[in-house]
Amino acid sequence: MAIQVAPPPRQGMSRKTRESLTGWLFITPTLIIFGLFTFGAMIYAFFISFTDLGLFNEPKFVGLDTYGKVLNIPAGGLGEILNNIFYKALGNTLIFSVVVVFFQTWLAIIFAVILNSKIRFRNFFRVTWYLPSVTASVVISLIFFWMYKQQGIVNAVITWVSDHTVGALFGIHYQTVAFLDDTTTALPSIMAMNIFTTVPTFMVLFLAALQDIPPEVYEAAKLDGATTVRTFWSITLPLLRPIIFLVTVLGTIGTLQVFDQVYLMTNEGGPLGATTTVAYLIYHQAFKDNHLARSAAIGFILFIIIFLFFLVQRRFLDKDANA
Amino acid sequence: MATEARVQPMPASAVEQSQRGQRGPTIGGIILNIIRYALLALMTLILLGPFILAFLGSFKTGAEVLAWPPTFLPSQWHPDNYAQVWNQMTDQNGNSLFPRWLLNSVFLAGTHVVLQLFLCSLAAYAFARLHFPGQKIVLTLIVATLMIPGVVLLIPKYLILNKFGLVNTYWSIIIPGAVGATGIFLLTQFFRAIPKDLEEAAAIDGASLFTTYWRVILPLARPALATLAILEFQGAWNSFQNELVLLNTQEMFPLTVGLSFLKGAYTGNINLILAASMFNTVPAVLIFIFFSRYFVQGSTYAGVKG
Repeated sequence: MAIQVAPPPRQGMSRKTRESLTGWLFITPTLIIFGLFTFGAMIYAFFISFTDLGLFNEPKFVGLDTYGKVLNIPAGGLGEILNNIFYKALGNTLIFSVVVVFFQTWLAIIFAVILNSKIRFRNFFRVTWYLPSVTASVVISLIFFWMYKQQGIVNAVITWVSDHTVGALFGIHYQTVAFLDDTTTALPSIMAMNIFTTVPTFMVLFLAALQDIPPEVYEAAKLDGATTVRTFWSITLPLLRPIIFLVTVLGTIGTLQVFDQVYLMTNEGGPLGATTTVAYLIYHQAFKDNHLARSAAIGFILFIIIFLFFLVQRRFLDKDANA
Repeated sequence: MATEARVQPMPASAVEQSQRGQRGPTIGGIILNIIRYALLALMTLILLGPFILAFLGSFKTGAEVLAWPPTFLPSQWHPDNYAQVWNQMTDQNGNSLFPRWLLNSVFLAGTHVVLQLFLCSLAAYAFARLHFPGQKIVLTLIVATLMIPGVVLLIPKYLILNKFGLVNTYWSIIIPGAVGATGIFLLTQFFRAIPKDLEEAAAIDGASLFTTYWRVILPLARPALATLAILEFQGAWNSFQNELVLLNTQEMFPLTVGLSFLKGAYTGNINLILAASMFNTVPAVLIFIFFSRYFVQGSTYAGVKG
């Protein structure tokens, strides 16, 4: 049997053409799925937002009317605008995003630095801390829904701590709160839970970046007599900058879309809209109120907001973009 | 003294520093260490506490789980809570719903992982190893979709699937999720780093491009494929919003949507909700413990994204 050294050249098609065709063939399934459910869906949503499509009516082109309805362009002055659920949801979402991203990023950095230093049981901490990140948001929401109740563990811990500190000293007693039923505590409670679940995820990213920093850098700083705090501000933080940018962007995209927690822990974004977020509003408008067009319009506004946030963050945090 | 040390030539200050390092722990150092470990212990307690409490709560009675002050260990262990969750919810024909939800979750997550691995690696091979016109722009567009919030696509996706008559079928979850930008990006990066010699050898042996992909590239990419498989399984197993919108009848629910349904059905029995939650959590935690290496690797790959 003769050993074949080279492939038999196919008739009429060069190697280059064949490679091109194969390339396109290999990405065809991807193109179909992205074309239909991402790009197609995006364009479709854009068209819907200019109609009055509901769940049961034939769509009619209405121009910017749907956006006008969503944004409640002044019909009755500022008071009415503030009552509009869209602005309420937007306000809630922005507060949620800014607070959660701030804390999750800083806590993640701080804990990554602690875990990166020479401590015992490092791997134990690293593995156990990551658990909240692998658990479904549904499950975490249900557990916290229980813990935040008036008879829940959060109230029990606060009661115990206050009884043994200010309670014992000044006789002040802590009144238990139903955290999710109170307009002032409902949203902050969900924020705290969200910080709890995201810190470990981002901590791992920072930890990986910290381990890439060569130890000589720190040794040199030590020789120059730099304090721990000074080393952190002048060496660690600047070197972490690309990861801080990444974490802030990922965190912002995630928090601006918060939905599962609101859906599971509150009664339709209540009490009195205190926990209604934009993502929840998108769902509610479409599948509870049957306003598909309004829902699509809100979705587009959210997309623009996320993009603007991204540009701002890039301006301030991404070194390469500023160069 | 400090300023003087800085003026002195380098070796002297170095000697002084190394001496200081050998002097052993200072009081300040010990206090700092105590604070550090206290902080670590507190953080561990905060992060693990909810899961331990939920696990213990799943064995309590409905009354005890809401007792004030809260109890730590169940006063009486009720493993029958789990049996109740498993059997109590039934459809019109008397079939248990809970095992069905579990099966739906396993099936949807399983098909998701298999399809993602195949289609993402196929596309990534084309992007990383083949040359064809337009490949750069297509890859850029795909990676750019990572910026699009999923919730924005929810309504149009629902409408498109509805046009095909696929809403409330497994297809509505499987088809749109069969390929993803994260997977394509991760594998393209990995494939680019594989040396070209083996492929060239395969080409000389007359292997087709598909054979090269299947027999040469895929076996070499095993670590990246394992990472992607774990990440995608985790994502599909925990996915909620998409399924909530696209699967409407009880027998189609995956476990996450089923849990949200149970929250409405078992308002007075949080113990049962906690028991039901364990069916979602325990497999996820076991997978994490066995494959924790890949989780860390995955988040490091994700770091490359920036």
